[in-house]
Order: sequence, then structure tokens, then C-alpha cells
Amino acid sequence: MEEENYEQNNQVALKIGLIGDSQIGKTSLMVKYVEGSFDEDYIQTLGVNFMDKKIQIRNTIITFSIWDLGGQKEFINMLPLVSNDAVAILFMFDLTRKSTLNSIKEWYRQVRGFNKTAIPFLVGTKYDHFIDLSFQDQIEITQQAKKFGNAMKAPIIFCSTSHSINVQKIFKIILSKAFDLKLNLDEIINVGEPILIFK
Amino acid sequence: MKLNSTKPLPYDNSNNQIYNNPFITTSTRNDDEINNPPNKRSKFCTSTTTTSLASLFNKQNRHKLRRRINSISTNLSYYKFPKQDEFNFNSQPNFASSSTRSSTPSSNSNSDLESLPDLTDDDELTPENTPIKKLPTINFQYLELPTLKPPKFQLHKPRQREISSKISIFEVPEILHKIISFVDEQNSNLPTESTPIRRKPLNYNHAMLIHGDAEIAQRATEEIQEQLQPVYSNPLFNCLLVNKLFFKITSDIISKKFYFSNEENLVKFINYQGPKTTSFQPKIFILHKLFQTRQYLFDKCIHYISFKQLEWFELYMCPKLFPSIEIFKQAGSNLKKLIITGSKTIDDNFLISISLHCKNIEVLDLRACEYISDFSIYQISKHLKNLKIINFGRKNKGHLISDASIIKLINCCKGLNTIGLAGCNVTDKTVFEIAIKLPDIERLSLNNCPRLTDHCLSIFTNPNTIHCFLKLKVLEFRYNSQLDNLQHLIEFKKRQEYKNKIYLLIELCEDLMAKYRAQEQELDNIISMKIFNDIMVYINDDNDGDSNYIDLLNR
Repeated sequence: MEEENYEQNNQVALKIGLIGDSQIGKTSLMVKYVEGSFDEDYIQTLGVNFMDKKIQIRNTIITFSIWDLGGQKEFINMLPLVSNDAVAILFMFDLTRKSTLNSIKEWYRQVRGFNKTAIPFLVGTKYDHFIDLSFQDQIEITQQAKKFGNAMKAPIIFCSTSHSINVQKIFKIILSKAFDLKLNLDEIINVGEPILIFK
Repeated sequence: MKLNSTKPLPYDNSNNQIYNNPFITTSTRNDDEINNPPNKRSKFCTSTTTTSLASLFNKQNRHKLRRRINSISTNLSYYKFPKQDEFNFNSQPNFASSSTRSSTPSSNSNSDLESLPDLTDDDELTPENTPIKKLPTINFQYLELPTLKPPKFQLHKPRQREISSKISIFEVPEILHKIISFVDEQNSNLPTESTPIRRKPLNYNHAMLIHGDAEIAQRATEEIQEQLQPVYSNPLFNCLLVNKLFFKITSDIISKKFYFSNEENLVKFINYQGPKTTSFQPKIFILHKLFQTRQYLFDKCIHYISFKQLEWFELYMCPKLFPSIEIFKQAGSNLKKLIITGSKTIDDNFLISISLHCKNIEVLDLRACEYISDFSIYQISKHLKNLKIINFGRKNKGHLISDASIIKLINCCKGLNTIGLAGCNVTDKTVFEIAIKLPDIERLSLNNCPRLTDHCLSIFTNPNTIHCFLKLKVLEFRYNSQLDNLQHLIEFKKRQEYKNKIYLLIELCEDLMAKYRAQEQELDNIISMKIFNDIMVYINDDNDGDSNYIDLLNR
């Protein structure tokens, strides 16, 4: 993170890493956030994807450098590329596949080996599919996610890239956590709703 | 046995190239030499009769051959020395037996064999019928005509003879010149002041302020400036002893650089030099830290030196020496670099007369030459238009140098990129002139300039001078405790880094550095507050582009 003063414009750069099993929508989330578009087709990430998103707020330019690691195990050796110097790491899982949530444990362990200071986030994707699950499953997954989130001391966010639910909010919460700023946003904690726990 | 040692051996192949090389000649031998065992080679090298390694090899061959002829069973084919003819460069006509190896064009048509002496009648074991003939023939290489000529050595065109040679690269003057030049580059350690990456911190606290890290600060304070060790064993001197060609080329290269950093050695040199020793025509002339050396030694030392090619003249901390104007008359417009530091002898008149003779000076370093004043600097600005680097830094008599001359100089020499005015009596006006007149300025030293004020700092961030100092890399403001508002410097440094991608080095003394850090912190806090405010507005803006999940749930 660096701050620059040049001709009235202050610059802030943040590096964000996206980590998690394959086919849960890491690349989709990145593309959605940076370009605002969503594509149903699946394209496997080979290695690492990288995108920059600049946001100008009055005299400040915030640059998110988003690094997205392919979920296949063979790309684990590129993990340092994504996690080193990252301000925040999004540990992502598929809300409709419990196994992807369970893998978070291992991902977290791996990332912490390289970066001990990054702020962790627990992000569940495909909320739009999640609401079609049985209520029992929703309870189970939500509770499990809360348990993980507490253990990691990480904010928990359920999002839907295709329906633009909680996508922008993820990055706003990152900003509030990174600079320790107060966020006037209501938490969402009820099962079945897109969970938003960050306090 | 009448084998004459100077005659070519019968096994010599006739396909030999005679290459006229002025530095390599086959020598005339006598029996004494032949009887010298090969282990005396090195002695031969320096002797005047033997001038190339090739002839040495030949001698060895012959020596063996002689033994062979005397029925000592030695298999000569074992020896793979080059044969004489391979190295038989066109030689002096006064050969012991010039008829055998005539170098006159008339005999060119004769093959070597034809010109052989008739030896068959008096000895059964003639070279003709010895087993030597069965020696494997050599793979011949054609010697390419040298295309590049070094300035001093001229090769004659090779005669139109059949070529057969394995000429060593050490016999081609052009190549040898390159090789020895390389040796020179690698080993000649000019006694010059090394340029530090940054100045050494004054003390530990200062280092802490600069680096902000205890470990680095500790290292920076402990770092001792590497002392330049005089090199006593320069391989160039060994090169002198190899052979005539080596000697000629090496002495030519050595004579280009004249440098001493030790009075003892200088005295030795003076005692040895004379009209017959190597005549120096140096491009570089350096006397380094000869604090006590007297003028008469200097006069003696330059007596035999020609300064016609002089490009770089340096008297570094030799306070008692006065270089005569004659040197600079000789050097004329060749002189590019004039460094005379800490001299108690040179004055305004000296500098002005130099500027009349040497108009191409680019580097003028007159640190601690306290008798140089505004008067001469003003005058030289009329003549020295090519100046790139000037340094008039001094500890005493700073009042002698002021805006009056420096501004004139800045206006005359647009190419200046380095200016040293430490301890001078310059004011903000000079800084302003530098800003608007010198677009190429890279390094600026204004240490201990008591008349500078905060106004000069505002020049660095003034919107009107935003196009100035675009190349500035080093800025020194040590010992200017009168300065307060360093915020301009902080802003300028950030701008330089961000806009021009130059990591500006600002050298400050301890109290200024403390001020600088405090103000930097202040500025950072202000900027951070602004950023935080902006981000607060952003993250608490409800209209963020996300959809409302209620719509999805009610679908």
C-alpha cells in the first residue's frame, strides 16, 4: 500500500488475492467487479489472472490490483505470487458445494505461510443457486461458514456475481478493514439471506 | 657438420608466408645461442638479438636437431614447435647468410628448397635424408589481412608468397594492442576519488533519520570509505618483458597514462627518467594526494613529458604544486578535464590563462582552491562554453564566489549538469537561474551556503518552474540550518519520483534531516486524512451498483 501526492491526486494501491477451489467463480467475481460483466461459460484459469480496477473519489484514486489463482492443485506453486504483499485475501467457496468450504482450511493454512498480515475474507459465491437449496442445507452451510469465519476472524460475505449481489460491498468492506474506517452498513445475518457479517 | 644455424631446415615446408612485420624479425644466431639450453628462454626474450617467441622455438628445434644429427636418438617429430619459416618475417638483409633466406623481391620466385645450400657432399646425414622429413605436415592457416590499423603500428602488405602459418595472435600488432589495452583497462587503477553512492551519515542519529532502521543505520555509520590501494604489480610491466613487439605496444599504452599517488615512487621515476626512457605523451596526468611534494620535483617530472595529447589533468590535494601554463599551452583544445583541488598556488590569473588555451574543458573541479574568485570565474565563462561539470566547493573564503560570477557562468554554459557550490556566497538568485537556464541539471550541491533562504526551496515546487529540474537526481543542502520550510523539498521529491521516475537523493545534515522527517510525517498525516475522508464517502455511499437481494428472493 503506498500513498502518493501528485497534482492534487492522492493515490492508494491495494493488492487483493482471490483463493479457493476450482469452478467457484473467482475469475467471474474479478471480471464482474472490474468490468461489470458476467459470462456464464466456464474458462479454467491457467495459473494466475490479474486485473487492475481504478476508482476515483474526489482527489483520491484507489487502485485495486486483483490477483486470481487458478483453483487446480497444480497451481499451488504460484500461490506466493498472489498472496505476497496482498492487503486482503478472499477465501472463496461455492455455497452449493460443501466440499469447497471444507477446503478453505487448507487454503488458509497455505496462504498464512506466505502472508501473515493480509486481512482474510470468507466469501461464498453463487448465492443465486444457494437459495434453491433445501432450507436444511442452507442452515447447515451458513452455520458452517459462520464457524469458519469466526475461526479465521474473517468477515463473511455471501455474494452472487451473476445477480450483482454484495459484489461491490466486498470491496467496500476491504477498504473499511484496511484503513480501519467505520462502515455504516447493516449486517445481514439471517439464514437464507446473503450473509454480510463484518463487525 | 656444416649445418649453418641460420639456414632454413630442409623439412621446412615451402608454403610459407613471409609476413613483413616490423617488430618481429628472425634473428641472426651464432653457435653460442644455439648451445644455450632452452631453459634460458626468458633471458632471450629480453635480449635484443632475439625478438620473437617464434625464433626461440626455432632455436629449440635446432638444438634438438643438432643432437639428432649427432646420432642422439631423439624423436624430433615429438616436438610441435612452429618452424622457423612460419615465423620468418621479412628481416634485415644483413643475415649471416643472406643468400639462403633472401628477403629481396628478386628471390621471391625461388622456392625455399631451391635456395637451400648444398649440404649433401660433405655429410651423410644431411638434413635431406634424416627422418625429419617424415614429419607430419602442418595444417596451414591463411592469415587474414588485418583490416584495422592501430595508430602507431603499420603492417606492410604480405608478399605474394605461398602461405603456411600458424601465426599466434600475440604476433599480430593489432590484436596485441587490443589485448594489452584490455590488460590496461583491467589493472590500471587510476588514483581518483571514488564517487560514493551517498554521503556517509554524520553520526548514528543522522543515519537513523535517513534510513529509519537500526541495523541499516549501524552499517551506514560503520562503513569506511574504501581506501584506494596503490597497485604495485601491474601486469603491464610484465608485458614489457615478453618481446620487442610486446615492449613497443605496452610502452605505448603505458605512456598514455601518467599517474602517481606516492611521492617515493615519483622520486624514483624522476631519477630514472631521461631522454632515453619511455617518452610520456599522456592523455591522463594525475598526481594524487602528494601533500608534501615540492615544486622542483614537479618541474623535473614534467621535463620530458609531452602534453600534446593531454585530455585529463588532475592534481588532487597537491597543495604545493603549481602546474605551469606551458602544460596547458601544449594540451590546447584537447584538454577536457581539469581537476585541481586543494591547491594553494593557483589563482585567478592562472585560471584565466588556462581558459584562453583550453577552450574545450568540460569538467572543472577546483574544490578548496581558495584563491579562485568571482573575477576569474566571470572571465572564464566567456571562453569555456562546453562546461558540463563545475565544482567550486570550499571551506574557507566562500565570500570570494557569489551570484555575480556564477549567474554569468550559468548563462554561458547551458550544458552544465553538475554544479558544486558548497560553502559559496550564493543566494536564492543563483538557484532560480539554475532552475530556468539549465534544463539538464542533474546534481546540485549547495552545502553550507549561508545566504540561501526558504525562498530558494519554493522554487522547486513553484507552478511557474514546474518544467524545471526535470532531470535532477542529487540535491545537497547540508549545513543550511537557516532553512525551515522543507515541505517544498518533500513535495518536489515526490513529484520527481512519481512524474519523472527519478528517485531524488536529498542530502541533509542532522538537524535539517530531523526537520525534514517531521515535516514529512506531518504531510503524510494530512494526505492520509484526505484519503480517509474520501474513502469514507465512497464506502458509505448506498448507491453502489449492487442489486437488492430482496428482488431475487421475491422472484
